[in-house]
Amino acid sequence: MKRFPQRLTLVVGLFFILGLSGCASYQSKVHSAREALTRHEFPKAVEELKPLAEKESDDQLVYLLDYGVALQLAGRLKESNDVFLKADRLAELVDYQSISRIAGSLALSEEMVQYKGDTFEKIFINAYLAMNYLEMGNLDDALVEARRINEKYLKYRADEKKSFELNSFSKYLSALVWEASRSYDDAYIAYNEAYKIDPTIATIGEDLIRSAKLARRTDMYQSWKKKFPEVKEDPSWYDKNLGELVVIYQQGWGPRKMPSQNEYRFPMLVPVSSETQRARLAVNNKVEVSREVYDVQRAAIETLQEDQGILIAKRVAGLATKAVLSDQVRQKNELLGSLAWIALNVADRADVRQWSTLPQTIQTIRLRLPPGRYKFTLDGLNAGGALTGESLDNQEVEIKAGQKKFIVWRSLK
Amino acid sequence: MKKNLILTALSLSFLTVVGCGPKAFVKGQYDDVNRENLLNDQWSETDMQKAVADLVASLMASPSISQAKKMPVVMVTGLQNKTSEHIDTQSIMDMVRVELMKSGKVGFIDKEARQDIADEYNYQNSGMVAEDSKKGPGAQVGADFIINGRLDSIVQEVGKDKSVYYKLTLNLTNLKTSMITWSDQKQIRKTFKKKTIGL
Repeated sequence: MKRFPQRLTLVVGLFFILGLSGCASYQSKVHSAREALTRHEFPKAVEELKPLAEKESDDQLVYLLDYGVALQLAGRLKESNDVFLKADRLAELVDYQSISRIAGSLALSEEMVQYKGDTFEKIFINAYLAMNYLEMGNLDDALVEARRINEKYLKYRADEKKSFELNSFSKYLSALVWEASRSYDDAYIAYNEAYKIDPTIATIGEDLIRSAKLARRTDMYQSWKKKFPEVKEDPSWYDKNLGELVVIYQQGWGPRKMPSQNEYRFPMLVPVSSETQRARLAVNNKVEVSREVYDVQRAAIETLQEDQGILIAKRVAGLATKAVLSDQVRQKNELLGSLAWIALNVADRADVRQWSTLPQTIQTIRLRLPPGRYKFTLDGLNAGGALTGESLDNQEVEIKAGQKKFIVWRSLK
Repeated sequence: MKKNLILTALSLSFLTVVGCGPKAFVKGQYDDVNRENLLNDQWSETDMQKAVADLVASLMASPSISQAKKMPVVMVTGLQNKTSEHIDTQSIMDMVRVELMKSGKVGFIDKEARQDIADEYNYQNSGMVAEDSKKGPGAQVGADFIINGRLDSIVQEVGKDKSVYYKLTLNLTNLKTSMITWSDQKQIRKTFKKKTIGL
């Protein structure tokens, strides 16, 4: 009878370990949905992600982000934006240091801390909202997102975030939105800020020259022309009788977080190879190939590298905490102390949460066209320029003079 | 001591299990719609009520309305949203219209109902409706003024401090002369402290 409390303690302790270590990781929970997206089985992916995204939890934000992307791919743009708006609010609400969760993360694992999203991911939320609004032809709401992107950009810049965290694509996209609304000065400022964040954007030279001229910033126009002598100015850029077809192409999959092979407590990023590397637009006997404006993979890798120092410090502190905790228990009960040490270490694992449905790169195609209705096709190309079989066939679009029509397309293979 | 250990282990297990449970709103109550709402840093119904009440009072005192010899007929057009929030500007203009109508000094043209009215004219003149009760085109009243405006915002956020400034501007334009006969603005500034550390 005297041994009963000891056995009960052991049983409860074991139950506690199982409760902690038996939880599926984020990556395993969304794996099936991601596979479904790759097979273009969008309703299946949406169905699988919905309960995860709707359940209130410390990880709700990350599931909302994946759910929003799945809805976008399924063509349910309004629902996708409802989800992204919820995610945007949630990202603000969970952006604080939780003492209890940090203490829990030291004793157990980093996943005890609520998922807050990386800085570049948080700005991406508004870029996705803007892309959906643009595709729905809702320029006013896309402008709201352009302003929101600017607010976040100013806040993160004041917080001294690094350039790769500031998400040059979102700034670039907001410039596109301003340009579509003919707010050329705002467009120029946004292109210029995108250039400051990332001067390697493939199209930025022509964007800066064109927007500086349209904004009547003569000095800057001359200055950019000297800086980018290879850019040939096209008179069609300034022809108000033409419209423009703008394709925002999301290519492939961003890298995935996995436990590091050297130390299982730390995450590492593993690139996901994609066959389709470029998109080719065919319309009205014209062919244009996409050009890269943002490398999501590079931003994710640089962000993780930046976080590495903090992660190491936290896990070292975590090991010390585990040792102290289990030693305290061991002083009272040898068996339970050993059990606690094993349990706390088994429960410790790499934080592999991330917005894993983001693309590898984002590219654009811009084509000026006379007003009218056009049939167009988008084809995926591999690194050698051959067709990969991924395509958006026989689409129809109406181009109006002085207006931009946006098409958002994603290749998944 | 063993008892304490058992209790601790049981508490931890309980927390592990219940921590994953749903957190639904289970108890509610009706609230006064005029009570200030500063639940979050977004445009709220309190902002709308305050801004509209002040601007409507200003408009009612303007000579275009207060000194009009006959009831001015007004049409509400769009309110431009120049903020970084998705705000239902139609709802703001609806409140402006309702508050103005309550005064009994202004008549309104329903721009939104034009298509429905045209359809109804067609129906009533299709032979289905008695001659003495049917209505037709040509007897509508034309608007004397239009009301439009713009909602702007400036958001500043540094560290845990956030300030949100709104400016609602309304204009009353005389349709005959295209002159703006009244214009006023209401400014609202709200400051917030963000939680940086919590339990």
